[in-house]
Amino acid sequence: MSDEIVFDRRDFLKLVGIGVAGAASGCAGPPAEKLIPYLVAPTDVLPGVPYWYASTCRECPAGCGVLVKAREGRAIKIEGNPDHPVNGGGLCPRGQAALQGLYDPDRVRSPLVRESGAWKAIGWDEALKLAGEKLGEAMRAKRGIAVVTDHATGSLHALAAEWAKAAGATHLVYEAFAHESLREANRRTFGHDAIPHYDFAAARMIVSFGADFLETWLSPAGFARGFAKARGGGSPARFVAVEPRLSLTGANADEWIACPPGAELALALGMSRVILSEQLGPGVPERAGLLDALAAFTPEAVEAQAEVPASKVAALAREFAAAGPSLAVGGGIAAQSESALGLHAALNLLNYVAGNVGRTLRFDRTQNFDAVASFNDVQRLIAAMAEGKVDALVVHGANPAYGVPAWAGFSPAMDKVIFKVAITAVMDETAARCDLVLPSTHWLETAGDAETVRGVHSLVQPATARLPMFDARPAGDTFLALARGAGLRGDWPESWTDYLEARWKPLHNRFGKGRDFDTFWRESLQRGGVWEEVSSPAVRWGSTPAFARAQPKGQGSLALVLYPSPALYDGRGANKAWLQELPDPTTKAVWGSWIEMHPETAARLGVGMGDPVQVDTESASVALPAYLYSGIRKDTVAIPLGQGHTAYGRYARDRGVNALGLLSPAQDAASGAPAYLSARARLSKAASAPALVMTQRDKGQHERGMARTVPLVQLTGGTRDPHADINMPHSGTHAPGEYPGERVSEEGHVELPSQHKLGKHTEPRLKAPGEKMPAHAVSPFVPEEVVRGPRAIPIREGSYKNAQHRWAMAIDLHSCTGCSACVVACYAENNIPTVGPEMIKRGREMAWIRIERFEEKIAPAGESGAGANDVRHVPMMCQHCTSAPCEIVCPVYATYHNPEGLNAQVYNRCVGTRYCSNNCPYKVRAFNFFDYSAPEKATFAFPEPLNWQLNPDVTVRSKGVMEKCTMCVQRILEGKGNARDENRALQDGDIRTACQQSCPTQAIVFGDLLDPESLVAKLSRAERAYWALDELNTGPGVTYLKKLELPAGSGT
Amino acid sequence: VSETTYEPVMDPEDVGKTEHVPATVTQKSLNRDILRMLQRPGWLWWTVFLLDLAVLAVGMVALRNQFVLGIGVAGHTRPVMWASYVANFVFWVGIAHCGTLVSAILFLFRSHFRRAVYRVAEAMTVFGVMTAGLFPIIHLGRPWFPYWLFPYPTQRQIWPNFRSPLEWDVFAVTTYLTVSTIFFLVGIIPDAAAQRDHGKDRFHRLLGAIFSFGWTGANHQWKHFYGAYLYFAAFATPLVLSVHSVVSWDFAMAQLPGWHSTIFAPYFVAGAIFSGVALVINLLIPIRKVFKLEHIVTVDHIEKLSKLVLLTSTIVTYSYGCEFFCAWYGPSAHERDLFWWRFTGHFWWATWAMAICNSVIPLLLWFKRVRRNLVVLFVLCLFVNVGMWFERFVIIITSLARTFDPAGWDINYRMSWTEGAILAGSFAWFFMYFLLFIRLLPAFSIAEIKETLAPPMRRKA
Repeated sequence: MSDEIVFDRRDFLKLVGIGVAGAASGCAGPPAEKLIPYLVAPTDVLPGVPYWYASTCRECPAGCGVLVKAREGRAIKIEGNPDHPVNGGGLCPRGQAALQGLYDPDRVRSPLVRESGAWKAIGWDEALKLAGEKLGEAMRAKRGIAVVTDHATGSLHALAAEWAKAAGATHLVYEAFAHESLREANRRTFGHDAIPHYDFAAARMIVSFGADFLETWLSPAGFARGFAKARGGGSPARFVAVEPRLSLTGANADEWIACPPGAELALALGMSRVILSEQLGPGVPERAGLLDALAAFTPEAVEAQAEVPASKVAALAREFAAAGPSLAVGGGIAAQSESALGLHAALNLLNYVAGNVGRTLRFDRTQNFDAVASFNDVQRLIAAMAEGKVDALVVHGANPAYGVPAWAGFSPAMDKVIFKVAITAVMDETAARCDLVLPSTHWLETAGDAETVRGVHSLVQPATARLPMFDARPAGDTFLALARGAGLRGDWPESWTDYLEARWKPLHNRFGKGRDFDTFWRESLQRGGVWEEVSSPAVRWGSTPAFARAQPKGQGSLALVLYPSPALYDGRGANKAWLQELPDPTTKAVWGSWIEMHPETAARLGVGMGDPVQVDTESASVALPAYLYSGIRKDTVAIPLGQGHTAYGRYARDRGVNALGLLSPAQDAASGAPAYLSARARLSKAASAPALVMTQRDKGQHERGMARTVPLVQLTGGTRDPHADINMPHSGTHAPGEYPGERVSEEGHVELPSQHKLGKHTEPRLKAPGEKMPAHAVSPFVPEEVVRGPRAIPIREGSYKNAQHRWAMAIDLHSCTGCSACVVACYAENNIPTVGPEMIKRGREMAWIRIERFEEKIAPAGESGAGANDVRHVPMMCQHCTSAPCEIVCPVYATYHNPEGLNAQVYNRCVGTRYCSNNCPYKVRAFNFFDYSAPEKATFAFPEPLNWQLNPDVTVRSKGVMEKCTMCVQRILEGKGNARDENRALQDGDIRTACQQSCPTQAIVFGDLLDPESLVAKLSRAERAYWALDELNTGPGVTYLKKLELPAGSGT
Repeated sequence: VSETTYEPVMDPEDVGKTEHVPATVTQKSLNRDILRMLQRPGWLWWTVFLLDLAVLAVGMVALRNQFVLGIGVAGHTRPVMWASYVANFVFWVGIAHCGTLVSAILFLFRSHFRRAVYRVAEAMTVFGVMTAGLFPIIHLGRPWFPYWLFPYPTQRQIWPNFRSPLEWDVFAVTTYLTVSTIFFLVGIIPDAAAQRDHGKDRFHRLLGAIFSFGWTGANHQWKHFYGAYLYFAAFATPLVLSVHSVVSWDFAMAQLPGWHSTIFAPYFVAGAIFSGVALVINLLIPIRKVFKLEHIVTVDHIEKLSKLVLLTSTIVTYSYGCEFFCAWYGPSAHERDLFWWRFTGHFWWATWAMAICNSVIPLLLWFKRVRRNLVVLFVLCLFVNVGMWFERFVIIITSLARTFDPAGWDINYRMSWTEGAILAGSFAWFFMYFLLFIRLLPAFSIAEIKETLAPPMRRKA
């Protein structure tokens, strides 16, 4: 035996040593421990398995229910909670982007104290001691203390209020858009100081008098869901928008009435008058008195004021009354003028006389704005501060130094306060003016609760441990510590969670159903809260205010409309790169401010698209790039709010202008609400202005048929059955191949957009016994368990006939409102880098899905007879074509077709010829022009800790490779894996892509075409289905459903 | 052994009677005149060469910048994913066409004027392909992986995609580089031997020894030489047509309006010859002037080349017209829109520059006085080369910028300084080789011109 040993043990060890040394010296790869951060894993967390935490979004007052996905302890994705009554599953772009607030690299990292003008980091003990001393001093000296918090609602609000009471302080709940006039109008007309529950879903006709309810107004995600419901089915509700500037909400209207700014009031009253005088509504006891009050608003008078033909006023009123229930909403921030209360009262009246109150406008689940300070309260605080009556100021979460119009003078008044402490996560404008900053945690890492809607007690659950790089504490704990430090009287619990749980004891008594508190608490956390039905109190008409239309004031000839940015809201989204890079749904502009004006206005001024324009009002003057928009009146210009921050982090600072500075003192007399629609502007050419950076510059279709419509009557044959399914395939007369682009198989049946050709040796398939595969086969064979049984599918070659799925999408353009929530969801899910304005100027945005906006026809109803408003939104992503043009041109097979119909992109194999993008007719491929994922490069898109948000299931792409929509292949794999684990077949709806999940209107449907009963298969066969650029024969896997044309009067 | 296979290129009767070069040129003076180019370079050459290296260095810095930072430093935009680099590639491949045309096709057609110019054209071909071949690598997002395009055996068993026109390019360009280089090296053998025997210094004699491959001038060597030359001429001739056809299919096989057209192969070949011949003229005019070779490269020769320019210009112009006609006559609204947009849209200046330089200005060549006025001809050929660069620019960039989906319109390409530096660097790269070549190896064919001279006879006094 020993003779057969070729070399002895010593030689063997030497050789091994040499080999190891060689391998070690030559193969210094990336350190593997970076991939799996858990060296010692907690026992209850499985690496690779996501955990979902129900919580409540705190990015705006709406308070949508969310589910936060955490992987390995890090929150990485937010989705709408389908069980939550506020949003029912969808989520808006701002909610999606909350993660970037959590991982904001500019968050405050430790307590900071201002010492001779500069910030100095100190420890918590020192900071709390200092704050306690100062606050105690102020309290003992019986000088004024003020507490300003955001619209927290729930327990934190209660704690702050208790704290303020114990300290003898003024407590101000600051919300930039406080809707005072709406509340006040409801108090006066209906006797309820509340914001009602608008039931869009039940409305058969919707008229918006300047409420951007699909963007920012009150509860946009929930409203969008109801709106889509009202607009679906065989008898869609007609939607008329009355506003001087066509907002995104207005762009979804069938008709746009471009009344002069402020004249919405007259139209609403004129409609009410017609309804009353013609006795169209259900009849109201106050008819005679109301008719007297409306005597001045004859259709002819309205025509003079609102520039709407008298006949149109009457026709609208008749349609509105007949639709029953209909719904009139209005008075959004952009329409908040000095007669804001009058407008709201007029709309209440219109709803009242049309019989909508109690049906589509109810006071059951009212929005909780009860504690929100009115602007009068804010002014009182400013006056007190300016007079030196406030010695100490505690600010938490609110940013009045930015959000209060400059004329009110918040910032200079605040500077007079001796000691100012901010309990905040970010160094915003208000915190920057403070003397002490105590970092608070983000809501995603904090326990809490919220009651944004009456009867909906939502819980805020930490979805991740507190980020270690930020030495932050929950605001509740800080308040408690300050209470102890300042020696406030009262029984302060040990910790914020104790306080929170104590507050939920009464709820336990009401909802606990006999279970112990811990069970109830756990169940509530899992569900996201507890909610109850709230009865709708009966409403009677109260007093009728005097109606007077306020005109914008000032020297200029143009009324200035300021509207909240759909992405940035009141400015609080400005420090999030996703939202800055999200194309504005109307202009498609990013990373800045602009002024919208009618092309004729611009022509008079002699400026073109993007040219610098000087905007002068009584108070200020700014230079902005012009955006030429035919959806705005010729006597009106519009500027979005939310930009122009002087602090608030690297993404927000010094970008665009804060248009609030353009306002002069103007308030709604009745409610004190600041009048955002109150100024006139003078325009002139400017020497320079920031650039206008747009992702889509041409908003015409040029007859390319990207976005198509179909008259409703063509689908329904004229019947008006609300339950009719407008997505059914045309029965009977439709012959295969009749429609353009339709494929007909050899057997004569209509083919689905699916795989019908493949490379013989390039795709995985089962190797026949004894078959010899050529050397160039991509995958010689796949194990038997992958290739499954036969199934009748339109694929007849190779392995594809064994594929069990053909993933596809159907997108309903009638439901799509263009809100762009899907875009941000995709950024979050797929680790898409943001690239900044300079790159976007060169068309290098990395978005995998974009919303294309086509302004087919924008004309105010008054001008061209029948109301014409045809703006179409097309979510455009990789179409996963059957005959994909990108696939054949890639020289290295970096992009290829997988058996389940996905157009796959292999990043590792890509060499970056970019040929695929050239040949893609949809231009949906994004190229990594720079290294966005390398921390050492200046182009790094995820500065620590933004990179903590990255989805570990999705590769972070490196420099020089192409990327594109994968139809969330990681979710497909997860869904298939889960089904396999549970030993069941995959069901329709198991897999939801990120864009589909976040869509508030459920316009996007994903599924398996090979399952004929799946929703996507049904929709793909619908008569209104079409494929974008179908003349190119690409056979897309994404089917669009044509938008419906609803002619005037079709709602009756 | 066999006397039948030797087929002289020229009828022995015609030797000395063609007036190919003036009668003053003798065998001895020809040797002397051409080998004189290999003397120590003077200040002029050094100035030009150092300037050239400086430009090359700028290009290299830009390239290094691009490799380190990413292709984003170039001006590509989302619809315009190919731009100046691919235009440069096509331009240089086009330049590389003329050499083989002159040396191979004209050889087969017995066009004797080629004798005076073909070596310069062949060198231009080799250096042109060497320049062109850089750009497919330069334009990659990950330029460190170009070898993935080659079908080499790996344990991953991944082959390149043979359906992709870019893959065809790999084979077309490498084949062309190989064949044109061999052809160039074969043709230079007898002249290198002359350099070896009559060179002024050891270095040049050594170079001559290397490139003459042991040439002794023996009869059987001449026989094999002509056999090989004929063989490679026949081999290279289809390549002249195929290489640029394949390059054109990079575009024609894609489905974009403005690219997807069957006319592309002949259109590109004609364009390539057009620009290549123009560049040969641009090279010859200064060389014959500086090296005082006006009696060897005569105005007659250059006039014949300029007629080739005129011919190819008309073919190119016809192709433009044909494309427009098809766009107008055809069913595709996309295509109609694109061709209108080319002349009226954002890049109108490039399109008009292309049309004027390639179609209008060469019309002057109908005049004999223009053809024989070397200054005018030189400038005219510069215009042709500018026009042909713009032709590639227009084809590539305008077609991409006007996407099917109007949502991508108006996001137009702007050339960055990096691209400009790399374009300039590519010219410097090309001229670096060319400047070295004319100083290191005989730039004109001694052997072939000698065939046209009267044989040296002892004359009675």
